[in-house]
Amino acid sequence: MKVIVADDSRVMRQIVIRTLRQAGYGDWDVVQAEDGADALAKTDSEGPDLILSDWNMPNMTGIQLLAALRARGNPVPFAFVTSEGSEDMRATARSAGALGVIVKPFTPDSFRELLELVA
Amino acid sequence: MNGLTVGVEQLDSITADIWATYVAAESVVMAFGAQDADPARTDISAQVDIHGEITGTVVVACDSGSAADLARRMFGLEPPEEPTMIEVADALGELANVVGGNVKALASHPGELTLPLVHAHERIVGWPRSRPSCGVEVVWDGGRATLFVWAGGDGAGGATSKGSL
Repeated sequence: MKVIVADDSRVMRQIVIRTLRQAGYGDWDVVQAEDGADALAKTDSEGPDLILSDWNMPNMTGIQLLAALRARGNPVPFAFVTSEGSEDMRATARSAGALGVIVKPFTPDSFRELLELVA
Repeated sequence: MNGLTVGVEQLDSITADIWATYVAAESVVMAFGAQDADPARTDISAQVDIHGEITGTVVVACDSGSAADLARRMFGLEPPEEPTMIEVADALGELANVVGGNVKALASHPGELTLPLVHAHERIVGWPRSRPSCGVEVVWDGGRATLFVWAGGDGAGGATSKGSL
């Protein structure tokens, strides 16, 4: 299983990777992306099985990234890892084609609940 | 335009949750009264601004030793490795981002969260003509930090890129 972790914060990318390990996904191949544009390019080059993306990033936001992927016909499973978990945001994420939203601060259980859908 | 409305109990709960998850399981959060939530000179601070139908600013501020401890813990650094200034700015900025996002989620009106802006040895930047809403202090065995929420303002501030350190 290959996953792209997209977040403009390096510390948050590391925390996501640590939490994936704690949730039992330590054998996954993780590719880091520092913003939406970087993640889009790496989706082309790496062919991930899953994308975990922050919402608010420079250059290209997470929702813009998801829209770009779907516009290209790429159905790669996609979930947001973000600081805001309002109902509006969750609805926007779902209608754009995301599996769901993992809200910061998250725990290994938060990841397991959502990633069981794809893992 | 509506000012961000956050109760000190809500900020207390958000801060406790975030610090327990990312910094130290045993962190203590103490509330300030609104009259105490004034900007003050600090070694380093990170802010995120909320603009749109609601406006406000969320700030996380602390001394340099506490900021380094935050970064050390969040990056999982082991002695003798010490965080760089970029890593400290990243960690503090991300904490402001997570607090800000959770605060913004309480609002009944839509708005957008800016990327974090980190200030070193500078006065905290708030919204023009804004009023302090509330503040808390969080203490853990590696340091202490102060979190403020400003409500309202005319939306004249905000970061467009992450970190100025």
